[in-house]
Amino acid sequence: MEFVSPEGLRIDGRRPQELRALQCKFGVLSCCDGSALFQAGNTKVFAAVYGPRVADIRGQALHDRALIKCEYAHAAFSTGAARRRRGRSRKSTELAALVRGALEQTILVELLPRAQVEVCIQVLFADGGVTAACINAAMLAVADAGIPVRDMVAACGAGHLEAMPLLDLNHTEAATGGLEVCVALHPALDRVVLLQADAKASVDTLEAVTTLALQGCKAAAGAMREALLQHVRSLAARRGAI
Amino acid sequence: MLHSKAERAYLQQGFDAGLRSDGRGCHDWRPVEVALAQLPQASGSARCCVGGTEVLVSVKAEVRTPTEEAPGCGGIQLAVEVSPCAGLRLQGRGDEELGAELTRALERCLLSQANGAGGCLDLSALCIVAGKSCWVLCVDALVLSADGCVLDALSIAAKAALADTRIPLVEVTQADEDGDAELELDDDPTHAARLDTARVPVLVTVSQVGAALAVDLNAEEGACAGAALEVAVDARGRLCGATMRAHSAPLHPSSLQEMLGLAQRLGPRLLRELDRQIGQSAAAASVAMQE
Repeated sequence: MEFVSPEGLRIDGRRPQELRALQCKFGVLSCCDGSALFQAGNTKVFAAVYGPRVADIRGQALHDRALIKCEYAHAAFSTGAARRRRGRSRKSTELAALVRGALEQTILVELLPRAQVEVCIQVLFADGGVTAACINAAMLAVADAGIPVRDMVAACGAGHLEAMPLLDLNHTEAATGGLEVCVALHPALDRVVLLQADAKASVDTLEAVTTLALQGCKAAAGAMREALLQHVRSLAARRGAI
Repeated sequence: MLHSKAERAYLQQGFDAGLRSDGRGCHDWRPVEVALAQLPQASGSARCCVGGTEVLVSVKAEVRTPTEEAPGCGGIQLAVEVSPCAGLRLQGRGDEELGAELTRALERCLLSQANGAGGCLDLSALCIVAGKSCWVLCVDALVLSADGCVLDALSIAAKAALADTRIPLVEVTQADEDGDAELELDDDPTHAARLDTARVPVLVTVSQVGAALAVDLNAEEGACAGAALEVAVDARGRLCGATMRAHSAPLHPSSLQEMLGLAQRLGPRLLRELDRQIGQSAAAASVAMQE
């Protein structure tokens, strides 16, 4: 199968270094403190934040910082063809831990001692780049809940196909089993929060792909920031502040 | 959700006076919104919002071998999942248990027997080659946000998703006399069979709060409800089933008749509103397709 045509277009019509169309919506669910919908192409992820509030289990509360909890689930219809196994798999436990790790470094946990922040993530459709979409959705929901953060965290994936680094792989491209890297970045502080590469690759390849993913993170962060600002402006207008 | 005694008494007195905290009467629903064709990957899908409750249902049609008990019938497979986003804050495996409970309740509404015989859908229409192949509808529901009345919303969304379902036309070509038929699917989305959902019922949960009977309780009101009866009613007001909700308070036999009667009066009204919204949504979709 050909992943990049001679004209330099990928199977979904993108250029090799092009992100899919990003869409961010806020306040999509009613019974939580903050919620967001993040969409990258067909990949669609909901996130809801509960808190900060008193820890459910008192013994788990930390005296010097907030406790971050993360729940992850994907819908039975989230993948195209075959029905996936239900329940919590090892992969979904790992994904929840990854998102929690990224958020622990992003939220100003030391400002919220003894409190708990719970982040729930629901994948509606998985078309590649799910880890990155989960982190981005969680970040947007945390912002919607008004929880103080050090910096925005934005994540993006990249891969290596046909000797060429490709940004933001979709499911068909990722299913080839080549190198795929997921990176999360604090764009203003310029810190890498998460890096995950799951295939054998030379150092040069990894570096090229990671650099591309980092550029993707910055672009995604820009789009997310713009969406957040727009949302806040519309909120302020509704309350008559401007 | 935790409520003080005073809060519960306040809500209960409101019901006795025929008034609820959001200004509704006892027999009124919150605004019900239905939207079709929400998921591009499904054969049919629908989203239903009832106040703060939001559910999503996808229907996928798959070709499978029919069961030995019913070689001339297709099938339906139901599954309900509760999203961690739903705000129920269930501990441990609580979400799976609730999902299983809702699945059973929805199964009782849509299928009367295990193989679907005698139910509201004509399963023989899903047969392709008797004893060889048939369509199985995989109905997957997801509760995205739970603010009371989840089961009613699920049944509304399931009916809407089934009404939205397009089953590809199949051409059967007989390969040899042994009957190993070859199936050829028609990819054209405008040429597709639709299901007849006119007889599909909706579930109306009637709850007792104090002495009053009410429908569509939100999460707060649900916390002070007594007995709850889940009644399946079709468009003509016929009863298609009734089940007392698990963990419901006990019920006096004399109030049973009253609760069933209320559901039979309110069910058709809800279904007319649903049919209107399905019609609107389908018309908008067909206009979009022509353009």
